[in-house]
Amino acid sequence: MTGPLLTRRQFGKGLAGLVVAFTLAPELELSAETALPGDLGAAPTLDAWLAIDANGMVTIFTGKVEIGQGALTALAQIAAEELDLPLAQVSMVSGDTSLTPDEGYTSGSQSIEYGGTAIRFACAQARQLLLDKASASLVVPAKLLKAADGAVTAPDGRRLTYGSIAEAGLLQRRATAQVPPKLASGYKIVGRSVQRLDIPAKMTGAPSYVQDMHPAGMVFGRIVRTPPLVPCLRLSMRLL
Amino acid sequence: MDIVIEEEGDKLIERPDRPQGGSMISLDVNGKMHTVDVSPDTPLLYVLRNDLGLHGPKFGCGLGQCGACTVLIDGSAVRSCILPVSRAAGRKIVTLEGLGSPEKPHPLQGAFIEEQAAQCGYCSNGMIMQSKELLDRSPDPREEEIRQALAANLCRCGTHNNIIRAVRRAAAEMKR
Repeated sequence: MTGPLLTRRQFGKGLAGLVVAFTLAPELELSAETALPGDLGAAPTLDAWLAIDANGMVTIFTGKVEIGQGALTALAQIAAEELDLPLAQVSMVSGDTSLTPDEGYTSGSQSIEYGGTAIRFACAQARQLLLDKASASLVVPAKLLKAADGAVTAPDGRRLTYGSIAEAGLLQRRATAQVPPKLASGYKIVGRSVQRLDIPAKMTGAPSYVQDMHPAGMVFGRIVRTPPLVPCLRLSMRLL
Repeated sequence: MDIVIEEEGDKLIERPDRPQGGSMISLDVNGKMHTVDVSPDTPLLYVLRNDLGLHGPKFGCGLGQCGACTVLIDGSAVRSCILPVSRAAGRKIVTLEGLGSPEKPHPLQGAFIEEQAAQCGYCSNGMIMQSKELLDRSPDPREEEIRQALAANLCRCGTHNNIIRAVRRAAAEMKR
């Protein structure tokens, strides 16, 4: 054989360089102010990414959509992990242009890398806000408080649920990405297989796809074809 | 009411499909009677999805080749995308919604959820309805039978093994 030969490893390295070059290009265009991780810069306020209601239910807003890759479930796991919340208390709002951040396409295995990173940092910051808020009302240093199962507990056993802590406006602030997310070694929800959130609806016919949308006044078209022309031979006895 | 768009000279004109008023068709879908005003050759799938708002059956190929549109008619799995609605009148139509709901799934639906037998989920309707027909006539099928019954239902994601596990799980569940 002639010509330069690449080993698999060398090829992989070269490719990694290429990929980095491509994916970094758009980020270099962003200003220093939007140097937030993942897609966080696309909507740099916390309430663009999550809401906490009075019952402690958390809604996550994502511009990424479920196309069978399990992204919504994985993003919910990331949120639950960072917020110390049972997965069942997280609900997802996805791809609604009036509600969710504009995260561009759902493609190229980027939902977790970019969307997940944004949610991870936003939820880490939200959890810290909840701890700080609880610290003020319990008059206990935040360091001594424990967040678990959607509630903050003080060393003396007093307990405040997220729902009771989260007042209106708590999340109306800039995302800073300054609160470090959890270390992977401490994950309890991320990295574990869970049942996908989208599957029950898909198995029972609940609306799940774009073509299931039925806005008022929508009309449907279908092509109506002419009956086929079937040639037929007619013989005239007189001529035979 | 269907509207037909035709060319007349260099203009497009619209006219009602049936100038002489409606052919009202009565359909028994999931145990409920519906009367629809459509031309008799409309594929049943269009009526189920567009007129009745049922999203279980899917439009896949539109040619009866993929199985995504499968419904049960008098218990038989039928491709609703190529069945004229007039041929379904007076017969018992069951769609995926007629089997169960997210809160109260049919054992087959429950087994598909339990086995996570879907990636995109677009073929699931056909897989479940076809399996329903199978289990109704053969409650304890061998794996080979399941494979054969589902051979003409296409899944592009490659969830076949999960699907077969789900059908076996449902069969076991329903025997109890």
